[in-house]
Amino acid sequence: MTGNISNDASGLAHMICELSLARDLESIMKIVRKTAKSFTGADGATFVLCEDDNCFYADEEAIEPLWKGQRFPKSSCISGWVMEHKKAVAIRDIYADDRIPHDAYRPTFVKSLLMVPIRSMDPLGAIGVYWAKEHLASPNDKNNLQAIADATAIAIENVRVNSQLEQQIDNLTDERRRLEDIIEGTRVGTWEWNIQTGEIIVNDRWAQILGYNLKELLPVSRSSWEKVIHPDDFELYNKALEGHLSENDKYFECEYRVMHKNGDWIWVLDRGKVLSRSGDSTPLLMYGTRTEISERKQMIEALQKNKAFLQAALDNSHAGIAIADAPDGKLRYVNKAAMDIRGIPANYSVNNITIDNYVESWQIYHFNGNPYQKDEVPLARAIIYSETCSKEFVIKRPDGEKRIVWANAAPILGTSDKVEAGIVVFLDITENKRMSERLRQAEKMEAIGTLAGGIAHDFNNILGGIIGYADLSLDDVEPQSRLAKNIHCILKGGERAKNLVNQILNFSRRGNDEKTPQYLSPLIKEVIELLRASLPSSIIIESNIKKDTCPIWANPTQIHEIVMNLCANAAYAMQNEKGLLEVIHEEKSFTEKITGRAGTVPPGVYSVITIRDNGCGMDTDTLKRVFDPFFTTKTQGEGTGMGMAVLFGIIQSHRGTVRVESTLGKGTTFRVYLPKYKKDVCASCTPEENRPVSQGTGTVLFVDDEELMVKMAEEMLSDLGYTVITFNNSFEALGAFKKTPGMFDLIITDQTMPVYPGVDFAREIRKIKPDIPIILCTGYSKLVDEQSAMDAGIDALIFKPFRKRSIAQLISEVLQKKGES
Amino acid sequence: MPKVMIIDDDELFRGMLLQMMEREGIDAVGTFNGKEGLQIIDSYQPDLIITDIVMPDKEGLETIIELRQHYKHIPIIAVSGGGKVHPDVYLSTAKQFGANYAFSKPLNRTEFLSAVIKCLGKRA
Repeated sequence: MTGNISNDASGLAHMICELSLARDLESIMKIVRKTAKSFTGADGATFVLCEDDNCFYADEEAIEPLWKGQRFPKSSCISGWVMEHKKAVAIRDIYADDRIPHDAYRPTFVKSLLMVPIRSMDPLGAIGVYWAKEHLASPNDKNNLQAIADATAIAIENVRVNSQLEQQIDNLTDERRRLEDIIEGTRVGTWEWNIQTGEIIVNDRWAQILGYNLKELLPVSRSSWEKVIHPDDFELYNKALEGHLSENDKYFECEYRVMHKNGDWIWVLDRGKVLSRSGDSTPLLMYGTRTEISERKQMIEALQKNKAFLQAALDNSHAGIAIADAPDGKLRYVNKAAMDIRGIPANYSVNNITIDNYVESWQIYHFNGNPYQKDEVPLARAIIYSETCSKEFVIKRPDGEKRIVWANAAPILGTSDKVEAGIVVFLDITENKRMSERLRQAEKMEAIGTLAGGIAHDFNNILGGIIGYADLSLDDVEPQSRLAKNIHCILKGGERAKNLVNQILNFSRRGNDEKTPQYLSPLIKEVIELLRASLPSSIIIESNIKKDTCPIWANPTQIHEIVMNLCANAAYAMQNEKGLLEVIHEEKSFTEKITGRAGTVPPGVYSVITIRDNGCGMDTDTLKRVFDPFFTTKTQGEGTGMGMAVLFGIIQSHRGTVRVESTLGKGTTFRVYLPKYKKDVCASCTPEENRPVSQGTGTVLFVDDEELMVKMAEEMLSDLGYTVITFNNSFEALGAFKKTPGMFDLIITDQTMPVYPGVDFAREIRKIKPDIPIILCTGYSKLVDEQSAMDAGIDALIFKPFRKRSIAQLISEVLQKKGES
Repeated sequence: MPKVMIIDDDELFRGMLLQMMEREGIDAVGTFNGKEGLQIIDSYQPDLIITDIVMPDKEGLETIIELRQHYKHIPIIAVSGGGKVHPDVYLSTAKQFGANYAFSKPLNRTEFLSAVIKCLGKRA
């Protein structure tokens, strides 16, 4: 084949064509070894690759095996020489050339060779052809083989480039798959928007978010995208999108609601960015993601709701609540109730309040009036010492009013139990304290009352004996003798004891407390006249007694006692100096309840008696105990300690109350509030003694188990013109009434009776004749008060013993009322 | 010599009254309830009856009512140390029932004696 140029050319072209299709070195070597051998008419061909300092005989095709798979140092083989010298070599007799390692060739058939480098500039290897006889390769063979080597170099380069490209493609494919996995994993919808064409490409997840599969949605357009946006959110969405398209905002980001396939509104978060714009900044392509955030939104909403609930609870709590940060205790939150308790406006700034100024800013005092120490304040203790702390103290308001406050503070702990903040909850317990104080007072009074009723009779008898005998004994002794003096002392003591028993009886309200309509101004004036005569001249009395427009339901003796007692105490408080005693009476209308020491009374018109002195005043303890029975500041023998307690009882029995203010060294003011009798009742009020006793007619059934009462009633009522039928037990009375109910016009019954007590008897009577008037007649009894009697259907209540005038008046009133209704 | 009958269940007080009368030269007899008093009234023929009100058995108010029914002419002075209510309450009732005077225990000797003398004077 050698020497035929056209054949050579077409063979070479065929080989190049084959080489261009080769995709790996193996294929290249196979083509090359065949072509090289056949082109040169050689007996064998090898394909040697350059491996650093070695020559690797990678492939061969020969009549007998050569060196395939073997490696030789470049310096000791001819292929190495060719690669080193970057030029071809033709050797006619290898044994005559010392570049040849003869020992390596001896086992082979080779006698001559031709070797060319693959790529002359920087050889990749070499191609060698061999003959079994001495032969000098022609220049044509040499050129052909070099051409084959050059084509091989290109093919190898192609394989290398190709494999690099394939590797890159593989890498890119992997990358893409990873991105897809990530998108899938993060459950993010993706979209690409060709703004110019309006075409929008979305992924499966984007469609799934809306409840569709991708096919159902295609093609996606801007209008189909925007069609499902919640109308309330559209403006927000549009603003965000336009803001980004016009390059005002760096990114498009918007949370809004879209309609799910099932008709529900779901929340989505869209994020995107224009990634390509034209020269004039017209947006071309925009990419973005969509995430469903309904769950997150619900959580946020729930959290916000919770927070709002909590805030509302804090804001509207009647307990004061304050929260402060550790470690300086700077107030972070204070609710309205707290401000109210402190007596400052709700918008008052608490920004600069820390532990250092809790005491000053909140005006915290001990009950004895000393200010709190910094670390005594509960909130401070919670923050400084991490302790839960409860205390009662006094807060002084800006107007000087003192409130009693109970506070409970606790630390708020963060990680590793470090105090992060403190919270204090506090209540204004001033009213509770007052209430329990009043309750204590009432209980004490009740106990004394019970005791008093029991002992008074025996006590008076005993005193009667003591005083009487002492008095008699005086007849038998010398008036100036020591014995006479002693007996006088016994008499004096006896008198005091007598007064005490009287006062206890008055106090227990078992005394005579019959009440009639009374104008207060004349009563008070009488007392003042009496006082002018009896008080020392060092005391000036100033009075301002306004005339009443309407009377009050009162016992005049007891009203005397109230004014007398208070004035006497006032005079006592001013005994060491020139005193001013003011007595004021006025009528006042109150639209709110009046709370005083003797209880809280309803709104209405009241007579207010003010008695003010500029005497020594009272300390807190005295002020607290001023109405306590047996409490006195007077020296032994000057007071019984019952005066104010009696007064307290009287005021209560008149359904009034009393207030006291006192400043040590400055004086004391008592204000007594007594309710006016209702207008319609007042209109008919005339002083009692001027009224004629009401006579009447009709048949009265009177029942009382006490014979005496029955007799007395019979007499009284007959005198008044009534026909009286009496019974001494309720059982018989009921029997008689059942027989002839039509005969009776009025029932008067005792309360305390066997079988049917008054109230039960009244109920039985009502069953037979519901409209018959019934008067319940009772002694002092806790069990029957006016209200419970009225509840039982009793028309009127009269207390034993009663006078003819009162029963006459009551009967005529009751009969008149029934007649009207 | 004028004669006074004293009705009082309290021995101490009754004894004191008896001595007080004796010192005034008045003949007095003591009984300890209304029942006993009414039993001896016809034989003793008192010019004045002084009676306590709150007593066991026949008590004062009841006694006064009976006395007024049968012995309208004998003056009565009621005396009371009170009970469940203030002595004044009993005494005003006693007056309503016909007692001429009423005093609460312990007594003011002067006032009491002047009433006794008035009653006996009327009688005399």
